[in-house]
Amino acid sequence: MKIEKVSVRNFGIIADIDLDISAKEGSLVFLNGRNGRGKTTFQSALRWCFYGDEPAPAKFLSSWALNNAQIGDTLTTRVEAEIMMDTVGTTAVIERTQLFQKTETTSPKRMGQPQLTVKIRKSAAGSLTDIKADPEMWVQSFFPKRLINFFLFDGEMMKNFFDLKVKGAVENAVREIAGVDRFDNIAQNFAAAETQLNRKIAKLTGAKAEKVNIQLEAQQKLLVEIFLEWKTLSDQLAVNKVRSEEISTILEGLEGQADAAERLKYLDAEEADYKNKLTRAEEEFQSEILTNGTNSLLVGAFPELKNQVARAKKEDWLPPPFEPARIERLIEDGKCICGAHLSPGDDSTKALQTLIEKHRVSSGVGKVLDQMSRQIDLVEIALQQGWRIIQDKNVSIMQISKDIARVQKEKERLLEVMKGSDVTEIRLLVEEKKNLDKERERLVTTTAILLGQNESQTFKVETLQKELAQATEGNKEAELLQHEAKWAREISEAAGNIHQSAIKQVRQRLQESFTEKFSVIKKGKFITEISNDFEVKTLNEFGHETELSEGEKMMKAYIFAIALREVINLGFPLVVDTPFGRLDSPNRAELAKMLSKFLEDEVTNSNRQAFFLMQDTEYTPYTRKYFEKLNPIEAYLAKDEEFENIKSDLGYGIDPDWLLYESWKDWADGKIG
Amino acid sequence: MSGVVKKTKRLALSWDQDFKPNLGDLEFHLKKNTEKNRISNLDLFMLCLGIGFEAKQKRPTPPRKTDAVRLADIKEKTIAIWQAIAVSDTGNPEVLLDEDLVFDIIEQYAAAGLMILSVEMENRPDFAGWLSGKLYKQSEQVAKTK
Repeated sequence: MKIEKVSVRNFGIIADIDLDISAKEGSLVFLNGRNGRGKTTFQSALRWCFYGDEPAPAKFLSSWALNNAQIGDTLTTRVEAEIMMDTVGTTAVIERTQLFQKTETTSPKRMGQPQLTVKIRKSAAGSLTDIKADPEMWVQSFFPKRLINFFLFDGEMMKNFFDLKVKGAVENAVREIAGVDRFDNIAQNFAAAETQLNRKIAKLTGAKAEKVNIQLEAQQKLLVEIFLEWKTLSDQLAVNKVRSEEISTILEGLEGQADAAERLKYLDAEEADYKNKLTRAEEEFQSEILTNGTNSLLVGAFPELKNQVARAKKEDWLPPPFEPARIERLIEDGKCICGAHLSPGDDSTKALQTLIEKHRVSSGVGKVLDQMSRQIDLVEIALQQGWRIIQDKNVSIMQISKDIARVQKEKERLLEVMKGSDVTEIRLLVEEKKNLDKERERLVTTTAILLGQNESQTFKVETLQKELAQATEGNKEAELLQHEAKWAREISEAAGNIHQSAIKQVRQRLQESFTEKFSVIKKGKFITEISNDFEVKTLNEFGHETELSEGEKMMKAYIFAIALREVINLGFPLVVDTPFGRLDSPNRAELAKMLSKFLEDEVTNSNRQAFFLMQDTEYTPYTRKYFEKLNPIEAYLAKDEEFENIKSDLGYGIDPDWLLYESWKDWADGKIG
Repeated sequence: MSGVVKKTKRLALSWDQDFKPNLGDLEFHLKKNTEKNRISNLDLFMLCLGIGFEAKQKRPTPPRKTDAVRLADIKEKTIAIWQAIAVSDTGNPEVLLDEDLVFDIIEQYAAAGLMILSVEMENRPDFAGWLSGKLYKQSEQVAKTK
């Protein structure tokens, strides 16, 4: 693939050039120029044309064109490259344009999007056909964007190429060459699909169905228990009803005897109750009679006592007590309370002593009588109370006895009514019916409760059955999903394997090609290794990473770029800005030697092309000598005499301006052979 | 009693030993009538005393066995009744100045009462009814007198 023509309009400093090398022999092109003449702009124009990478706004629309336009004028930036695609004459014309409009401000107004046009001509004699379908895709297929760094690059950065962004660039290149992105995407997409399927499976399956089933079994068991209990009670209720009806029929036939029997039962209880009361009343009556009667037997003693008390009162025996000891103290003191003097043996003293003797006994008896009479009064009161109690009890006994007689009479009457019937049997029937009625009430209540429980339980069971059905359905779905997940995993693994395998192959081919080419240059046993993480290492014969000179590093980058082109089998030209960078003379000489030797094989004997964009300190007469045998096409970008700072023009050969200075002057003067 | 009263050294009264064996039967009849769980010694002694005093019969003072009523537990009202009997028996209130004299007298009446009841128990088929009727009438009579 060779670039035969490049037309640039209104792009940065290049306002209007047409590089046409179609008629020239050789595949090595030196496009020279001093600083600021548009070498980098030329490369930038190609980059925009092929890849759509726009330069900075200030370097996009040409200042010259803008200056020459009127406000409101439309300006077109255009880059067109005509490329010989193969040796049979297929030609492609790639053109990218962008419209601008000059405004009152310093910045032009962009009008619409850049437009890409690709036209193909199958032979030199054929006409151009517009690729309308998808020109971007067409360009991408021949000039993959991910390989941009290996076709359009800056020599200034070459020596550091493998130390800087190269890993990502190499990886991108390898991927692009291997064409495995779709497999990687497939692997990733199917892995994601598998993850998603596994999530769904986890939701659908697992312990849920089992758990629901256990709950369902428990609830079903409970439901059965409730039903059985209800059935038992219902049976009991039916039996109860039948028996109750039987009894009712029997009792109806006895015409009121059942009521009589019932009444008799109550009368029996009433009689028993009265008899108990009677017994208690009689016991209390007898107890009171014993106490009161006993005391009454002794009442005969009381009249004499009362006589004696009366006598004592009369004779003043009773209290206030006579106190002999006090009178004796008066005698001892010799003085009476009346003031009389008392002497032993005198009349007053004797009289007092006689008084003491007389009252000593009577006063003692009087005290006792006094206390006794009080107690006897209480006894008499108690006797009266006791008698009233006896009378009350007697009345009670009589009343209770009357009640008992009444009850007994009523019983006799009822027995007369029931004469000829078995009272006991009737009573038992009545009792049984009562019990049956009571039991039926309980059974009805319980069965109603059980029915309610049954309904609630049935609802629970139905709910669980639905849940179980869903869970089981989930399991079925999960089984299908598991198959899908398995397929997804297999496809993912297969795609991954293809991806890895393809990358491995490309890496291997790159390694082989690189090693071969580098060995030619270095004539040593160097091996190139591209690691799994796309690091490009140069190893010596002992397998150790070797140190390379600055020139060797740059050469390594060139060779890698060329090896890539070989592996990918695309022939896009190598366009290198400042290919020697800041190398010193020995390194530049060494690189020039290596490049010329390398390009001799790679360029002259193939349909490939190399563009080197250089200034006069890189492309010297001495450098030129290394490439002379390759018959390079020389062109240059020079200042426009009229618009020196904003427009460059194109010329072929050596820039005459160069011949005025230093080595090129010597060369022009014939001093350099 | 006053300081002039001669105190007894007895701790309890005594039954007449000749009829004491009948006390069990007497207790049985009284229990039967009243359905009481227990007829006390005092109940029995007072009944015998009442029967003996009502009949104006006495027996010789029983030998001191202290097998009847315990004196420590006797209420003042009961003592007053006993003293009234002693005064009635002697016609002299000075009997009250000697506790033993009082207790001798009531033991004598109680002994006679026990003897009477023993005979009645032996002779009357419905002893309990007879006794109840007798006591009822006595109560009624006393009440009417008042």
